[in-house]
This record gives sequence, C-alpha cells and structure tokens, in this order.
Amino acid sequence: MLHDLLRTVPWFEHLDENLLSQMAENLGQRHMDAGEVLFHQGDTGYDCFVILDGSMEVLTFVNGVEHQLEIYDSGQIIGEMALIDRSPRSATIRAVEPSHLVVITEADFKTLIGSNPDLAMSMLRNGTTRVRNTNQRMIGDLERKNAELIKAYQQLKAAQAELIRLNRIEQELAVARQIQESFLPRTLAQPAGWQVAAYSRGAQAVGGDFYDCIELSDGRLGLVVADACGKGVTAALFVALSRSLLRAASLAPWIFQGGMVLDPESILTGALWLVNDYICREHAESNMFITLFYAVLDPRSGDLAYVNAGHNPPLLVDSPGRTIRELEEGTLPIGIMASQEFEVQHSHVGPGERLILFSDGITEAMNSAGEPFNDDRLHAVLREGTDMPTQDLVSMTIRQVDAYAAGAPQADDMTLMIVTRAA
Amino acid sequence: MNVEHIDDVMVIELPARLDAVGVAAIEKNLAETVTAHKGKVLADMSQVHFVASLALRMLLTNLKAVQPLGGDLRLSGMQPQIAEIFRKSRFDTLFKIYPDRESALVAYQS
Repeated sequence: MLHDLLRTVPWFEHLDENLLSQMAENLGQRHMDAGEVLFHQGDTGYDCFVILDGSMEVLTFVNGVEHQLEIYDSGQIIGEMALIDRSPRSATIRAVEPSHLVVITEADFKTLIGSNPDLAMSMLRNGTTRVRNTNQRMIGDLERKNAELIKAYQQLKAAQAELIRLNRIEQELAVARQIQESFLPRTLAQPAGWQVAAYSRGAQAVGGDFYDCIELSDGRLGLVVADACGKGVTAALFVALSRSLLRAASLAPWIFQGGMVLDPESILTGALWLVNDYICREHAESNMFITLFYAVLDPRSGDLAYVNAGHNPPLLVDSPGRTIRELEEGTLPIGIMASQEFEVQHSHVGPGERLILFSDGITEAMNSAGEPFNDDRLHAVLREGTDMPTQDLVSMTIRQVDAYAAGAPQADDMTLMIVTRAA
Repeated sequence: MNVEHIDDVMVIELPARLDAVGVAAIEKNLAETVTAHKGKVLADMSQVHFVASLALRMLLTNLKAVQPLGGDLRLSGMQPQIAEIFRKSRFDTLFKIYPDRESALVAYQS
C-alpha cells in the first residue's frame, strides 16, 4: 500500500524496486490534521518529510506577524535543509488540510542519495531552485519596500511643505491680530464723573467685532460697538475699513463732511453716511454688512445722541440695578442700502446709571448643549454687579460667560463696553 | 434643504441651524435654486432655531439676486428668538415676513 503511494512520488519514480520495498516497510508516517504544526521555526530536528497527500504551508514570523512563504503539495519534500546543514528549522510548517506524510530520517536520506545518483541530483536541483526562488522573492520584497519608502518619503516632504505653509499663515495671522489689536483704543477716556471699560475677544485669530471710544472736540465722547458679518479674516478686513473711516470722519468732519459741523447729530449722520456709502459703492458685490451702534455722549449732561445701525440694542441700567431698559432699535446695518438715512435717536444717562454696549457673541455664547447665554443671564449679571467698579463688572461678565460656555468652543466674537455715570 | 413648488411659488424649507457650517452647507445650492427659479420664493423658517449673521447675509444676497429678475424672497414661520434677531438687526424691514407658510402663500396670490 505505502509502496504504491511512494512510487507515485516523482522522487521515487525510478528508484530500485528493492530499495523502495525496504523503505515502504521501514519509513515512519505522519497523519496531520488541518492547522496542526509539523515543526516550528527554530526547532532542532534532522528528519525530512515527503507529502503523500494533502498540503502544507511554510510560515515565518516577522515582529510577531505571521507570513506565508509557500504552500507545498503532495509529492514535495519539506525539512531537508535542516537535515543537510544541521541548523535549526528555518520556518514553521503547518498542515493546510488533513495531510499524509512519510518521515525520512537522516540515515534513510543518506541511503537514498547514496544509492541513487539521479535522486541525489534531483535533490540538489530542488534545493537550488528553492534557494533561487527565495532570492527572487527577497529581491521582489526589497524592491516593494524600497518603493514604499520612496512614497513615504515623498508624503513626508509634502507634509513638511504644508506645515511650513501653515506656519507662515499662522505667523501672518499673528501679525494681523497685533495690527487689529492696535485698532482698539489703547486707553479709554475717563471723563470726570464717568468710568468707561471695554473688552473684546475674537473667536478666531482675527475678529469681526470692534469697539472704539473717540474723544471728540468739546469733551464729548464717541462710543462705538460694531460687529461685521461673519468672523475671521473677511470680517477683520471690513472691521479695519469701517473702523478707520468712522474714526477719521468723526475726528475731522471738516475734511470728510465738508464743513465745521460740531453738533452730535451731524457727526453721527455724517460719519455713518460716509462709511455706508463707501462700503455700498465700493464693496456691493461682497454683500458684507456691519451692525454698528454709535453714540455721542456729552459727559457734562449725560445726554446721549445715537444711531443704531442694526446692532443689538444697548442696555440702560438704572442706579439700584432694578430696571434694565433696551435702547430703541434703529436702522438697517451698514453696507446694505446705499441711500440709507440714519435717524439719530436720543437718550440720557442719569447719575448712577450705566450704559451697556455689547455684541451678540455675549448673549449667544453657547454652552456644550448648544443653549445660548441669552439676555436674561446678561441682565442677571448686570444686576449682581450693580455696586461694582465698571472695569470689574466687565471682567465679571466675561468670566460668567466663559464659565457658562464651560470650554465649549467660542462660536462668535464677543465685545462688551460699559459706561458708568457716578451717582 | 427641502424644495417644493406650490402653484408658482417655490417654497424652500431652511434647516435648523444656520450657523457658519449650516450656511456653508446650503449657500451655493440655495443661490442656484433661487436664481434659476427667477420668481416667487418663500423661505419656510419654521425649523430654524439659530441664525448667525452669515445666514442673514445669505438671505440678503438671494433677495438682491431675485428682485431684479422680477421675483421676491419672502420669509415665514419664524420662531420667536429668530424674529427677535430680525427685529434687532432691522432685517425685518428688508423682507416681507409672515407668521406661517399658508398666510405667505395667500399673500403671494393676492
């Protein structure tokens, strides 16, 4: 039975009948289940095996990961390398399916090749072919690895270039931020009997909000809080433009508005008309608009003349902090209608009262659940801080908004200005 | 963004959050849809619970695009906090605003 099976193996096809019969009587046999390991890489052993039926896979392990090198089928010999050079097993052999093997010991092997030069030659040829195949495979692997390395290197170079580009943009944004900060007044005028404090923080590197406190002739103060549509660089450019125009037109009405106009109404309407007309005329296609509250305060009387161009109505808080009143809304924002007329409205800040100017980034600051800080919370903070110095109230309000947001990303620029008249 | 035609009015249902991300998601599509229609457009805002200033800008841009073509862009169904933003920014003076879709459609036909 085994004799017939051995005869089907190409190695033994031309083997002397006596020798084959002798082998059939003496050779050991192994029956392997699928997945069963014949030997492990690194094992010591000097038997080799011929597959009579089934198939065996040759495995190696690199960094603990299994790689299949070959699959050998019936008729093929395995394990002869260790037998020839007496070194540990170079790979692990595992049955792919139920397999039947004969075991050829070192002595049997010697007898076989000694008695049959053709078989010895075939063995040598087989070994040489396997070495050649292994070399080819290694060269192929090296070429593939090399290509992967070149690709990875190119990706790394591209990523580095992108990083350099981003760094440059970041540096430019940092410069833009410094320039934008220099647009805010360095110090705020503090007329006798009044306190003025303000705060502004962009959601991104540069912002679309600004405030200003312009010292006009005759001791009057121009108070401005504005919010350009959107945020980031686009909004910041419009802030730079409108803030500069507004300030220049307010400080030199005789240049920009063609006359020695000094009454608050003329300063307000003249400056706003100029900014609005300029943006509508020169930048209509961008459809950018700016909500802006601009008031001229006379610190001697507390009289307030103002134009509200679509901005959140400021709040007027009375001295005990009991009543909080919203100033009336006004006209459309700046930059929408070229023919816009800016109606001047009037109010009065009495002794002990406070004027609160802010952008919607305060009342619409979101917590992690997406709920806004809202008007009610702002009113509550203002009531709580009735007796506080103005600067402290600004700081506390911002702290409370930040505490409410509790680390949720700031969605919009926020600006707050508080003007207090001594009681 | 849901679009349907009721008689000669194109009704567009705006999504819930019109923040920077929400606006960026529909801005291009909305502009193309509105300008292609060249007629009466109604933006149903009943689902909208947040608008950033960029959303006001988007509506303004579409209004400016459709008016010279003989069309109009009207708004309906604003939730109270959205109506409040339109009041404070005075955008309520730019658009014809209706309490609900039905009253807007009736007004378009009169």
